[in-house]
Amino acid sequence: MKLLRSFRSVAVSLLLAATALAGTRPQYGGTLRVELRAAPVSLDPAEAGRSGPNQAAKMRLTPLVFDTLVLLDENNQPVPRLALAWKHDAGFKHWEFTLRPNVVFSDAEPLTATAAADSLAHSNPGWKVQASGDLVVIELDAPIPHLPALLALPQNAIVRRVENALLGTGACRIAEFAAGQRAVLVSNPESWTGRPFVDRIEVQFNRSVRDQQVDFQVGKADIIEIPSDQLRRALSDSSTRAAASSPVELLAVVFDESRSGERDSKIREAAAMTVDRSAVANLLLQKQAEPAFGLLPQWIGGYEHLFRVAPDTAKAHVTLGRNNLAPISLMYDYQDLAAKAVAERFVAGAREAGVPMQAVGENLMQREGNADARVVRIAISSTDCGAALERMSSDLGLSQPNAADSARQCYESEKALLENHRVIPVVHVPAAYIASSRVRNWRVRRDGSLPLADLWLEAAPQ
Amino acid sequence: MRLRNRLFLLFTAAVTIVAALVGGITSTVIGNAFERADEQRTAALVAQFRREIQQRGRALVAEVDSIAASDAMVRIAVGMRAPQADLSAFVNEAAPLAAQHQLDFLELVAQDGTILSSAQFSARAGIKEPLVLTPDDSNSRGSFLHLEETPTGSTLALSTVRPAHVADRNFYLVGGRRVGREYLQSLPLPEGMRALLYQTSNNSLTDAAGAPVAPDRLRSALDSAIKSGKESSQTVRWKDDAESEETLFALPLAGPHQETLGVLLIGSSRAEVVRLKRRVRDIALMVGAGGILLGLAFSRWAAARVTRPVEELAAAASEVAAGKWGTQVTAASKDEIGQLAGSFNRMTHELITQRDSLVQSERVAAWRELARRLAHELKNPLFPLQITIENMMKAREQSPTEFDEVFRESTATLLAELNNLKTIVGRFSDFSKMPVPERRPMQLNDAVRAAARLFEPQLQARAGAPIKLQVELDPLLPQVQADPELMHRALSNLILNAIDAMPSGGRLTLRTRSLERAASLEISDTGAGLTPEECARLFTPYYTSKQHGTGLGLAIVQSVVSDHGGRIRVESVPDQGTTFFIELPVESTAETHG
Repeated sequence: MKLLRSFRSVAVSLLLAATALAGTRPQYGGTLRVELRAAPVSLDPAEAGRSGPNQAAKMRLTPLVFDTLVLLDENNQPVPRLALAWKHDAGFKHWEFTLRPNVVFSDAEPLTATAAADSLAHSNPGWKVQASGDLVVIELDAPIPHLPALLALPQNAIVRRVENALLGTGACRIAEFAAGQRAVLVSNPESWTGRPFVDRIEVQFNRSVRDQQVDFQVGKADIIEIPSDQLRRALSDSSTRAAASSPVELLAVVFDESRSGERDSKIREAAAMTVDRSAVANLLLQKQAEPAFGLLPQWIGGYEHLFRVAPDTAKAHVTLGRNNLAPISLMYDYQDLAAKAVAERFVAGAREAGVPMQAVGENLMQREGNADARVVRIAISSTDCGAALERMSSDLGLSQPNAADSARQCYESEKALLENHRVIPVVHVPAAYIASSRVRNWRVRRDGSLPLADLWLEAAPQ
Repeated sequence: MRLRNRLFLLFTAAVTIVAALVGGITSTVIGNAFERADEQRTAALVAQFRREIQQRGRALVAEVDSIAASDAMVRIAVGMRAPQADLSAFVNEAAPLAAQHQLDFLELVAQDGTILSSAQFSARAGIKEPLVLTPDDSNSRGSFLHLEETPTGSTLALSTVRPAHVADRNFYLVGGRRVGREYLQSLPLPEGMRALLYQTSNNSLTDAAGAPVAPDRLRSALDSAIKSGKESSQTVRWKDDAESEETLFALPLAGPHQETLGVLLIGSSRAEVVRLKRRVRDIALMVGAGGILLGLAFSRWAAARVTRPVEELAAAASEVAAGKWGTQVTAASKDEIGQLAGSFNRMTHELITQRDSLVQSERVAAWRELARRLAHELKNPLFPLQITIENMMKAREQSPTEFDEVFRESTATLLAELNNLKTIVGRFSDFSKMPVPERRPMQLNDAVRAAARLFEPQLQARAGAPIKLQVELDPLLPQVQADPELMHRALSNLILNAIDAMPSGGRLTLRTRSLERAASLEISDTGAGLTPEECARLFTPYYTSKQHGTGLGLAIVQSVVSDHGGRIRVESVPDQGTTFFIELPVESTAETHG
């Protein structure tokens, strides 16, 4: 009897252990459901979209489908991806990349140097890109020492465009895409990196924060975004499976290009002096953001502290002088609470200095007309300061900075970009998501990307 | 104008003026009464709004005080007492509290004036609240108007600042409700009234529907209310129609330092009053018009009633003037008109009596005159007859021989005197047998020329006393309808009279002239002239101023002229002469002959 009781105990223990192992062991199959507020109209990495959540969403989804020639590691050093090796001349104008062999697109067509060259030439019309055997040769008019970092940007991913289809070499392929509504990615068995754990990833676009939360609560979504006002509570609550990246998005006030007169310059300068970034980051965004004095966060450039200044309303008054100013509208995405906080605090500070500003919420997805200024959310697309600055300049409509290969060069370039106060950085915010309990191996990378291919789903109980 | 018409117009004017005055005064008095009633009604409503505003202020204070005493504030105060308390944890506390207490604005403010949480402008967390920093006793301030900062600008609010002592910590609660479209819509406005809000900060005026209204038309009331801080009013006519008039009462809304931040305008449409006044005016006009019509009828009747006896009197007087002296009127009433009619009747009766008496007297006088003249005329021949017969009788007795001769002479004398008597009797017979004129077209100039030719030799034959004949004829003298024979006789009589009047010679002037609708004939002499008394009796039959005359010559002339529808008159100046004027009517179709 005692033996029988012992056997039962052992059996139960083994069963529980097996169950526990089954929960932690990677499993294939299933459909991962992701909901985002963004509504991208294309998944083509080369199509430059307007800055904002759409751009960020595309930047975080396309690496599942398309690979780049190189990647940046944790130390911002380029490491091989589709290119196994590369070399350049002394002037950084002639570059040769050797392609990884035996890589095929999702339609089983092999990746050739010609296909890669065509893709890069498509995304970089200013470059002269050619194929030479298994080499991709890039000829530049001006030296770009940090070209590998640029090639690591998602928009430089290798894409094979066949009729209306976009084919890549990544772990997934695009099975379905409805612009601004829905995307379905399925596992790509031909991928040289191996297939993802899940069979299918369904992404619902254009879902409001409220809709995401409702779907998450009723089990219709596995991964959703966390709004700024809930991030602090979500991260501090151990029972939730919230995860956030380092600050990878910039919220900045961008004045319209048409406001380029001397008076407008004074207004911008005065407004920039009144911004209490610490209040925005620590008070309004409840310490879930970092004050942004530069375009790039401290963790990427390492020099952002050099831009730091304290708000000075008195000096702003002096700068502005006695002027009767017409009201200035500052638009923001009314669904983006962090943008709302930035806009309202910016307006409050500007009014203290005598700049008659008003914050006006707008539907970013249906942006119409012109505003005097806007709060924009820019995703930082690279951990390389030079590449990130180049991309941000493009996104913000600023003049292209000089090629920067070092922190000093990046600082100088950024300083020049910020000099006229057309772009006033306010805060850097992280990308934050929450996953359901059935999502395993859940994490958010430091750069804000979601390693969806590395996730697996817990099997539903039988 | 006839008396009846004059009376009718007089009565009509009087009735019209009275009706107009009554209508106008009635309309004005009633209109003013409506105005006063409307003003009193509007004033009562404005007072009610004032109480309503004060009531809302008290309700706001009570609501904010209830927040100060709520568990939520205790939780916040306890949370802030924790060491290293994170103020960001309280940033979003105000919004749910505001929603729970139906406040548009709520700020939780720390003792040092730092905003901990703002429901309406969350980004103001960490900023100092000026309302709290102002050294003032918030408890006594109650509610006041305040320009509340919001992300989209500043907006007018009814605000209050209330202190709160919770869990050994001091806070301030700044609560408020928006004073805007919703506020205006919530005011209990009766029909015909509306509320508008003017904000001094942006010079905007909106109504309850949120529609902008141009403040320029109300500048007078607004400026008065803003400058004085007291209520004012202004009546505005928005369109041409008087019904678009609106009286607006401006209630200044004071800020925390008694500065006027806004003006609540209570508009009371005057359309109903205007319609009522218009209706009263229309009724007054209709009543007035009816009164005037009735007055016209009454005036006509009254004028006829008053003037009828007068008209009868006038007609009777006309008949009397026409010679019907026996005319009588009916004296129906006993008033002055009746007395007048009686007097008239007595007058005509007296007139007839007097006439008869006068006729009788004149007849007697005429007979006496005739008897005197006959006696005078007949006495002259009778005396020679008597002497002659006595001579014949004396001759028969004294000298029969001479009797034959005496007889012949005496019979000749007797025959002469008998002829003389016959002539005298013939004259009287002629006068009694004046023929009826046989009128035919004739020229007076021709008659004058014929008479001049007849008498010219006689005038020239007067030795020692020549009379110069002067004929002045109007060549354009129109023809007249007259009997040439009778006219010649009349003219001859007048010429003979003139000759008799100038025994020492002189000048006889015969003159014709054209008058309006008449032809004039003048016979002037330069004789001794006549006295006025002689002129007055000149045409009386058997009256004569001459030593030997029957007194029938001028009477015959007057009779001829009168029978031709003309008239004769005489002008005479003693020692200068006499002129007879004869005017004969001219037929309208008469031709002119020189």
